[in-house]
Amino acid sequence: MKHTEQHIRELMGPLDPMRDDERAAVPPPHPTGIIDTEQPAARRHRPRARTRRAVLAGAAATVLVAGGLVWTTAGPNAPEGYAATPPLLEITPPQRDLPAAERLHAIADRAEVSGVPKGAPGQTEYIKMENWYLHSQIDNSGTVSVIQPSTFRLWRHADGSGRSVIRAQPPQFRSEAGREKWAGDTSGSERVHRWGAGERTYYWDERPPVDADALRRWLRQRPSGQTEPLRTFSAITDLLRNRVLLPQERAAVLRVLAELPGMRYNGTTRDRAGRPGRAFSLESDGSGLPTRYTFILGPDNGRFLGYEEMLTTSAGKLNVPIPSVISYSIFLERKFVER
Amino acid sequence: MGDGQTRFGHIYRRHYGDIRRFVGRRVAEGDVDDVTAEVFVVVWRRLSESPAGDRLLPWLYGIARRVLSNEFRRVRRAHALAEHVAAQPAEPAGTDHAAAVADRLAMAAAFDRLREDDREVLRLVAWENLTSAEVATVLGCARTTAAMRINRARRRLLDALRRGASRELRGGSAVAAAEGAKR
Repeated sequence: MKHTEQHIRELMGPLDPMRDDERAAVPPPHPTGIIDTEQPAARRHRPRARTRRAVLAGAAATVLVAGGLVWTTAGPNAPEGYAATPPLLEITPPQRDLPAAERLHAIADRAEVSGVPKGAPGQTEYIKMENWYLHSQIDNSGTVSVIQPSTFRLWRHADGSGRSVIRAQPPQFRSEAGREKWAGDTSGSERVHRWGAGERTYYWDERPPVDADALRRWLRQRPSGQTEPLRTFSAITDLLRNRVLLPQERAAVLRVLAELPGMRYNGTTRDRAGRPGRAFSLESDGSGLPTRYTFILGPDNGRFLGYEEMLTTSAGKLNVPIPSVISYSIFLERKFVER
Repeated sequence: MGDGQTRFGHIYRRHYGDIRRFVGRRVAEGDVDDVTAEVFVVVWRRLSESPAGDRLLPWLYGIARRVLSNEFRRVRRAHALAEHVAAQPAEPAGTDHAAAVADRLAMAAAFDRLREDDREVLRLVAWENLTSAEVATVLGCARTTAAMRINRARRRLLDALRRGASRELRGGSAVAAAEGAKR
């Protein structure tokens, strides 16, 4: 029976009309906008159209509140005095102990022929991300940490010009004392950057090489204070934040990742937008504290769903428990669009 | 926050995308969000019946199917698959691009020629990635019945592909690929 099912998947899988659906992602919970948790009034018989709208709001409210608890009350398990951090990814370890490189090369092969994303150079590249950071200020009197969620959108045209919009939500404090102590803006903001052709060469004017060795050299051209393998890992995250990759380019990136020393396969998971994925990580103390850097990839076509950083053995002077996620980014959309 | 809300929040967050994709494969784009919301209305009503673990998602798909069967008179159905495939924007050209498009179109046309109950079984296996046991849960039938329906749907798909190929394809590349995968 499994053979029959697999055969059907091979025949029909590529035709899935929802294969590239990005909007299926549930927006990650935000700490702001905690709203009344009116239950969907399902037992009362409202007119149908109203009920639908009510459940959307109700369901969203429930999710927001469920997630909002994580930081508005510092999380049910966060000890007093600790900053609230998101729950760790739930990862199911693999049954077979295949090396990460082997798995990544296999995913790269699939990515190369996936046909995702559609489109081609010459169109505008569009990226939408949700980012979450733990920001901390440390002085002799202690550490104040804030949660900083933001949405990042970028349009990059074929001639290199473009714009980005960063909508930062107000930082979230655990206490009024922390807010008063914080040296920085405590309001939300929206920043729009525009640039002309040739003004942001730092973010690569040309397309990335599709050969893995050439791409590795190309990524290392960027100035960096980091050592390997974190240097290449960070260059890849920069690339992903700024360019929409063609299938062949994404395959090359995956092949570069496959050859990074220390890369491990952690298992299957769901990213913070609820999408199924595979987690690959490496560990480094190159940024000062022992940190696990994790990429989450789409299982079928190797799309980059997101990446995150987790402190593993020491928090230094940060007021977070161990282990703790200290940042994550998720790609909600990465596609070519008409200008 | 009550246990019910907590559980509903967990289900919603974890499976919203699965349900939206399920709905999107069956109804027109403009109705997907509304129907997805309707599914979660029913999930909320029937939360106390929700199973745990691996049985949850097939249970949700079962609810989604019932909502869709109620809604089909009101909402617009999804385009024919061949129409959807044909409407896809051109991919970066490759040497086998034209042949690959022809194969996909032939497969989609074969799918469109099947009866709805066969198409539904194929969707559940290929796109919802369900096993025969899970298909049985969604369709509310015995495992052996589900297994039989899956086998039958695959056979009919291949038959439809052959019939289409004899009319339309030069060289029958889609059939050859399908038969090759079967071996």
